[in-house]
Amino acid sequence: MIRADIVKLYKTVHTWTGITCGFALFIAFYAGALTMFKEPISRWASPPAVGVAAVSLDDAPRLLELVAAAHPEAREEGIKLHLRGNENEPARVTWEEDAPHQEGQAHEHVHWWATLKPDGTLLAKQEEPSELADFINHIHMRVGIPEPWGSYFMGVVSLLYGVALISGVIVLLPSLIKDLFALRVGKNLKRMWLDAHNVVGVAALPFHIAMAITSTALSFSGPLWSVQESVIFGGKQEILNDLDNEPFRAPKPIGEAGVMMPPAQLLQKLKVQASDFEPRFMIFRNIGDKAASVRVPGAERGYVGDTHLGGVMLSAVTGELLKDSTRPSRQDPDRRASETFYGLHAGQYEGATITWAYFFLGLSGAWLFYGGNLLWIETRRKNARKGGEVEQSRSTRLLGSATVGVCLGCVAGISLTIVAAKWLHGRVADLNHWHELVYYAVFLGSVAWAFAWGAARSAVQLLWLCCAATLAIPLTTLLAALFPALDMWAHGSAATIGVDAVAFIGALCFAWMAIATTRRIRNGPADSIWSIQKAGDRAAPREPMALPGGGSVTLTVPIRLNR
Amino acid sequence: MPGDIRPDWWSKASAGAILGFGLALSLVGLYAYLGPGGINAPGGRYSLMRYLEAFVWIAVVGFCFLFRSGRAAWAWLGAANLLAFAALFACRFYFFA
Amino acid sequence: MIVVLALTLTVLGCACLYLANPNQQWLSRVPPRRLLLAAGCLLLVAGLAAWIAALRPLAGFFVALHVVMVCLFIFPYSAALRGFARKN
Repeated sequence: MIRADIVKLYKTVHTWTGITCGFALFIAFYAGALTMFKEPISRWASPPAVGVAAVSLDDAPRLLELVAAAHPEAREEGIKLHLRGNENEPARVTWEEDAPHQEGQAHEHVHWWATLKPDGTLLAKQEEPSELADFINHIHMRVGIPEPWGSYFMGVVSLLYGVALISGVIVLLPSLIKDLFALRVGKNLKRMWLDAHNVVGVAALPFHIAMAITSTALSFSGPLWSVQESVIFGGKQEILNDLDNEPFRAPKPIGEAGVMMPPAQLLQKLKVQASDFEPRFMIFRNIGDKAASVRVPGAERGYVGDTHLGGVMLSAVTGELLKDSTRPSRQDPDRRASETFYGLHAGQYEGATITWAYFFLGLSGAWLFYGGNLLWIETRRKNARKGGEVEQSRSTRLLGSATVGVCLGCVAGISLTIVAAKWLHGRVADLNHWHELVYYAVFLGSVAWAFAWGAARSAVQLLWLCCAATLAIPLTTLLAALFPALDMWAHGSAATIGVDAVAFIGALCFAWMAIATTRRIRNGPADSIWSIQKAGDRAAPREPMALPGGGSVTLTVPIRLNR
Repeated sequence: MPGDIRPDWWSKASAGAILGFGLALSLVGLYAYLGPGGINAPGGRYSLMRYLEAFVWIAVVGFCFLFRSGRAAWAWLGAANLLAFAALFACRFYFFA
Repeated sequence: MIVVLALTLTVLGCACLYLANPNQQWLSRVPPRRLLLAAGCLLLVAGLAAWIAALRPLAGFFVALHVVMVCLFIFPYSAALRGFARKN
């Protein structure tokens, strides 16, 4: 049996680590859950384009040849041939070129796509793809703080998250079996929030353990590499050495002309040599040369971390395997273990089941941290009442406002920045920059709003904002389909309609939460930061007063929170 | 076990964070030298080591509050660090002399 | 197809385990707990086997584990939400 003083000690550890990290973890988990649908979101946000199907795979050799002749930098750096025909692939081939920059300086890339005109000539255009899905991933990885501080910050948060898990389990151990799966909804709010917090935390514990370890390692990745090199090997062994890049390096061109094998035939050759390998796209280098090569990233189903890093390289002339050491079945045991960790973090295995499971687990994690903060507030409320004090303490009010503002601000900000992908496309010069502006404006505005209005009322208002912002996602698609004059688009693929459908369900959930919270702030116990009733006003009506306009109750009742 | 556990928040937490990282680095470093394949193991080894280091680090910070006092935490973890780093430097000396 | 089978077996197994717990709030009267416990374990083992057959052992184990995790927090919440909705 675990000693009571240890439980008490770790309760303090759990409270402090939880409160300090809760906000950042909520954002990371909510944005991370959405990142599970990175591909569908990216497809949803991509404007209609020429498309992959405009050039058949049989016509691809001609397109590749024309691009290689007209764009020598692309020929050298790699021309990407798309195979799937998703909306976020603007044409059959795309490539990146360096933006103009000073020698040796960090620089950006510009993106090109190319297709064949009906007369068989080349049409190439520079166009920046939507980076919306990447932006959501950046919020997930570093809660919107610029590099490198965002990563360091999230590294510390992830470490404390691991400590919060350990301390939480220690605190829970004495009552673990008795209260397993118990979720008692009722008058005892502290009990209810504690149950709601524990059910999610205990059921998803293995998920959280894996996340804590991997997110610490991934956030501190850069510093860990360099400290490994200097401390473990004393600078005597390069650990990020050239050998690791070898499988990705294309053979040098030899200057002799060679006849290229058509992509369709290359894929057949690949199928024969690596039967379990599913190619995602092909990157051609040095087309026209005898040493031309094609790298094919792809997946090997059945492995954890099945798509990350893995791929093969073929000769673009003979179709023979040149390099084949990075796909899961060829990885050395340590790499396999490392990729398994990565796959467990990113949910990169199996397919739809895992994507949805991670989506729900990610949302449950966000709920865990939101609920944890509410639990802290509820616990403090009880303490304050015992001491005969009716006024809630400043710290609980501030934490309540911060929880509401940060969490709901993140939700509303992400939804609105998704919506902006369609409304602002073609209307602003740098859409990818606008995604950031929209998100930060909504996020910071929500936080300010929550502090200005207090937790109770801002929770309702911001929940309606979340509902409206999320509902705007399917509504935008609907409007685009109904009114072509708006110059927006509505893709018809299952993946993009899925984005709209999930957003619609999400909006319904936010509406339900807003209604439930409204009821709470009007009729719930008054001695709480979640009430807009006068503290100690026991005669408060149990039903909303019949006053004109839904919000008028809030005007007639003296507000304690804004004092 | 008799005796109370003193909270000693800051001294324990700092011991866990600093010495926990040292312990993580030195123990995982030993794996780099002595694990299968040794120092010539393929590059996946160093990628894996990041996750192992995170695991040890979190475990030490998480459980360091079980020490009776901050001083005990620093003493025990310091001793463990000394041992592990001695072994690590011995390996380094042996392999890269 | 085998994925659908594996998913069904795993979810049913979790449902049995949840019903076997004294804190369950789905039914007012439940079949004998031992029976549910045994059925749940059997279904979960069958589900795990199906996942492993569909993938590889390690990936199969992790898929089964994550599906179980999702079920084990959704079931209590579904019961609580039903009670919550009935009260209001």
